[in-house]
Amino acid sequence: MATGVMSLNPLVDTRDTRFVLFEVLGVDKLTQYPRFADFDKDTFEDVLNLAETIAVEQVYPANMEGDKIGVKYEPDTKRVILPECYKPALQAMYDAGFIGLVNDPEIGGMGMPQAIGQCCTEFFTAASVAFSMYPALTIGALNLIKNFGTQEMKDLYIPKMITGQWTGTMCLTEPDAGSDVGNLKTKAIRQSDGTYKIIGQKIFISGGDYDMPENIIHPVLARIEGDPPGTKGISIFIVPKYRVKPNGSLEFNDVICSGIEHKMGIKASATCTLNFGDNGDCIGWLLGQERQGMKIMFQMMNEARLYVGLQGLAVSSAAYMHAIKYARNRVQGVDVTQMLNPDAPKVTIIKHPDVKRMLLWMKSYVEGMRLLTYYVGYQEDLVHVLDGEAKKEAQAMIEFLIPITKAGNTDNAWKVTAEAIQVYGGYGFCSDYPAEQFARDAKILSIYEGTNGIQSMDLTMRKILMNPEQYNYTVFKKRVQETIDRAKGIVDDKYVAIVQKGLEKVDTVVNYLKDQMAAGKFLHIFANATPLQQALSMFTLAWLHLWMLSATQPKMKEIVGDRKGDDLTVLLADNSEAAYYTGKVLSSQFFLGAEFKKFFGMVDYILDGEAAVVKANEYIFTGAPLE
Amino acid sequence: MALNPLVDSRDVRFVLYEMMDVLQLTKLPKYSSFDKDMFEDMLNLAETMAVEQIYPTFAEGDKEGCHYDGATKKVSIPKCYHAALDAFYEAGFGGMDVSDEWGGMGIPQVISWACNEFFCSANYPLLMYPGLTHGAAELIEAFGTEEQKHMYLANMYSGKWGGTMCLTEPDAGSDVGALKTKAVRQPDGTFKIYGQKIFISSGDNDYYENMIHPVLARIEGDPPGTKGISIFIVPKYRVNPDGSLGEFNDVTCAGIEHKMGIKGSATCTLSFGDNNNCIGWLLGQERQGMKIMFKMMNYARMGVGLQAHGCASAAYMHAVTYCKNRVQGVHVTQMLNPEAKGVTIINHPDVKRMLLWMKSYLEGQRAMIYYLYLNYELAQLLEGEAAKEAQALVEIITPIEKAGCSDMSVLITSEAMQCYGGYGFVADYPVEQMMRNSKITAIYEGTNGIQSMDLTMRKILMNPEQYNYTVLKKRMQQTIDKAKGVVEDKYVALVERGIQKLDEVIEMMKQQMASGQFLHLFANATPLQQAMYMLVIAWMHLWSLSITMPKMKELVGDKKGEERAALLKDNAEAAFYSGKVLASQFYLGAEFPKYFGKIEALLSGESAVIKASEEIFTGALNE
Repeated sequence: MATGVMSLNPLVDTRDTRFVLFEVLGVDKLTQYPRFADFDKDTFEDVLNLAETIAVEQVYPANMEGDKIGVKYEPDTKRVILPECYKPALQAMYDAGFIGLVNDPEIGGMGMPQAIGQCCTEFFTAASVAFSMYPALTIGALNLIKNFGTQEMKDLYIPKMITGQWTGTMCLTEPDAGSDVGNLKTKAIRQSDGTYKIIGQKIFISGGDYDMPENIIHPVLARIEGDPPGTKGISIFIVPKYRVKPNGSLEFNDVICSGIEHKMGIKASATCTLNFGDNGDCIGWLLGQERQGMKIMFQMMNEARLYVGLQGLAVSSAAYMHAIKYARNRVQGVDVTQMLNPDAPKVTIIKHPDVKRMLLWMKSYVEGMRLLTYYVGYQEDLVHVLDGEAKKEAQAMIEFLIPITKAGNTDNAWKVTAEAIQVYGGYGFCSDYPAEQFARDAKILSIYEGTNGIQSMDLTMRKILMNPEQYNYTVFKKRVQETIDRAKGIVDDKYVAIVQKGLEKVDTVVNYLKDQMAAGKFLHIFANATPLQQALSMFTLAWLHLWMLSATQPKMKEIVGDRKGDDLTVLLADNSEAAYYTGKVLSSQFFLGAEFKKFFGMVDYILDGEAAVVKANEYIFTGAPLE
Repeated sequence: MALNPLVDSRDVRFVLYEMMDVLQLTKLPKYSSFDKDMFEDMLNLAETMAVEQIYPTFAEGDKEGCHYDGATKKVSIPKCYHAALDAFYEAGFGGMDVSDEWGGMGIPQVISWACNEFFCSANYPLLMYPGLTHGAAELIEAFGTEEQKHMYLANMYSGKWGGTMCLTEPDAGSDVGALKTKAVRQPDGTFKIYGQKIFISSGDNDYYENMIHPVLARIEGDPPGTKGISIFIVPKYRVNPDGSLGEFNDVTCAGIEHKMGIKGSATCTLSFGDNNNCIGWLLGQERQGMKIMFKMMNYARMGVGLQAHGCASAAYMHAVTYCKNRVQGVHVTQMLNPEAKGVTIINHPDVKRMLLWMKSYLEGQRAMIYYLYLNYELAQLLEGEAAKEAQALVEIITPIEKAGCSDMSVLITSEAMQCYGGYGFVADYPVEQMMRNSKITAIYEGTNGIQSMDLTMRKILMNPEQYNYTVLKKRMQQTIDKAKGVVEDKYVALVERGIQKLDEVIEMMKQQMASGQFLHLFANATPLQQAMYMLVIAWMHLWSLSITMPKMKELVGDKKGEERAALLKDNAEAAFYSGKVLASQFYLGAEFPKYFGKIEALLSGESAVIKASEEIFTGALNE
């Protein structure tokens, strides 16, 4: 790893991305496999640097302006207008090939590892949460077609989607069908030529319509007339905004945007209500088999949920980085040890213990989340290149960690962005400063793509308790134990011991829930799902910090040696590697030594078996009007 | 009891009468002319006003916001605020706790602040106008000359004139001593004022006929820092001896802030003396500015805690109603039944968990806040040791209340939005505004970091003989003793253990203090405050449970299952007490164990924060 000074940008600690990718995960080792044999570390570096450049120079400048202008809707023309500043930034990203970055070269992608893709997406998303959603949804829709479409569909749609000329969405939600997607009413009527007429309304469709792409391709969940209610009866259809005629020209396909939402945040994301078939002329093409809609959509769910987890990481990173810069420059008050000295000079607030505490807290979460998110992406690469048990184990880690990544990162995002505002003080609340927008953008993340309550149920039931032989959980424990064993002798005992103790506690909790499952206490389990997820999310970050500390502690010792006091300060000011590794060590020590203690309280929440939630019913929530 | 979307009215009465026994105040000479009926009239009137006049301005005021006209340099506030403020003042709420000498109703603090809970939950940015006016007037009432009191008070409490708090400058936020606004002595005893203040809520507006600004400034020649600060009354228009408005006093609004929330509050930049013609009148003694302002600040801090709490209460109440109506998904025990019908989401365990979590914090906070206001008053009305103890409780609980309620408000409004799902993020629904409004409460009136330092140092470690802490523990112990045998042992034991653990932390910090380890203390200040907040809430719940558990048993008996559900549906008191018991059991039995994790974090002695220097926060731009 070169010791040259890495670029500084306002969004993501670039040095840390390389640490995670190459020093911890060893992503460059993927190049030994045929799938990635065309690449080497330099090519990865080129792509990462390009992503950073576009994100910082093109996307980031549009973030605040996009938020101020917002998406606009013209009721007369039914046009949705994207903030102008977004368009060149999107085009730059498309032109550089980022839509197809991790996709199959056969369809025009670059075939890069998912782990590299996670890092590139972190830059784009940190630059602007709303911005990154446009390409993300296109990638999702494109992948649906790639994995389940006929060759004809693939030839028709993918080439233009991978360049961004046509974009995509995900059309599931309706006014009465959110978490309960099976309740949807959009219907598909069989036509004699094998196509379907689509009639219905979808809401909260990000990128549903806007004035940049030539066409928008909507994968739509709908029920074929006659098919059963609930999730079993759902099929999925490709419904383009313009259908493509045999001669290649585009014909309007009766997909109308009837309005957009005005939201707390991600204001530059066009959140649309789409009406399909208002004029009886909306055609959809079946994707995959009939009544396989949910199964098909579920395959995309992991990818989408990981992406939202990455959004949580990215917005937290951007907020944290801005807070550091502010704290480094804002002069206010004297050094706390000089409070009684009337001649004491004023200092920058980064010197105050309470401010350092806030920053270190944010740093420890951002760095833990970064490793977690890239790790899951990396497991997806391993699933592609490994065989047998190794492949199964990688898949198990993905299954286990996806709900943790989605829910954990997004719950943290609101807290981290709120703490960043706190560092800014009063100015943080003012719209001239970027901090408050990060917070407003962050809150949706815990809600969409499956609320965190849904993620918690998925983790608790499908991924643990109902997972045959608790295979996923077993693999997770194995990985954690491997990290603990490797850390012994390298990392201070107390940090190793606390993670070991944490692992034992996790086991106790999982066994406790297994007992509840066996006893049929489903209400208790469902009431404990989110508390379990929150505890496991915290534990996962502790595991990852122990892993990082095993790498950073020796490095720091090597560079810093026994230096103390002024000697140390001078070194840290001059040597960026010394500063970096020292910061990493302190971040992990803070998390494991102080923050992680809270995990044990979270576990006791579950083990103490307080049944108040189960005993509560709707009537005891008194005081509020009934309607 | 009336149902409103803001505050659980029944719970307000529970805390006031069944927990705090506020009627004890009517035994004191000052309040001997009051009785429960009069208190009820005030509370009902406040609730009606909050729901019918103030709450309708919540969404509209945020959409319209305030506007600044660069040409006229005037600020206009949301139009709908005018009528609401008129109604508020006409009903006498501007001076409800104030002496009738100044036109007030003279009601007890705790009742007036229970009324304020209704107002703050309805639209707290609106309440900042009369709130700041009240605060400024109190300064004059406490420290002004008779002439000053007669000149200003009546009009301020009646809402004819408004008030502000002018401390902050671009380089003087937490470090208020760094302020540069200067006062130049004039031969006639007045001062010419020169300077700029920022973030002045209500600084200029088109509602009040005049604005009275208490301004912190440094008399030319006085020392730097907080020691050299004096406070001046600086009206926007000078007041003639006959009470009429005189000359414009050279106080100009240079602009307003555009903010994440509280958009209906005009956050102004004020320039004093741009034209060399701004006069200020000294309030109190020279160089006593900080001491005088602190009196207002302590009170203001309590008020911010209530703002935050009210905001969160409204969010929770809205979430309850939403969850009782939103149909989505089948009952979790029916997931495998294809015939199962959709149920309202309040039936889902995870949703009940979120609601119960919010309920438990809000009810604990309500008790803490009312207890704080009660003691604030008792400290003034009682004598001897009783008065000292009441004051000690005010000292130690105030920073906990301000920081704790504001930090929780950010989390509770977020959880309320989570209950709403996707719709919660949409601006047509009120919760996102509540979230946006919540964050500032953790920042202004002394950031929560400042509150934590105040708690740790001034209120505990540097408090002679830790008197405040001793009194707090004494009160908690009294509650524990009364709870034994009434409340299940496990809940009593948790609070006892909680106090023991806090003792360990305080001991550790005393030793760190003695050995000069100041950096450790400052790094642990916020963690200590956050832990103490949890303990105080636990204490309130134990106290509450001692009352509600027997009541519930009386009403519900042994009923279970369908029978119990039917009773809870029909009998409001049974439902109320059951809800109270469950909220307290949830807090003590499930949520409060997290406190011990926070304590372990404090006791761990992890020194990473101390070792961290600015250089190790790598990756970000330097400028």
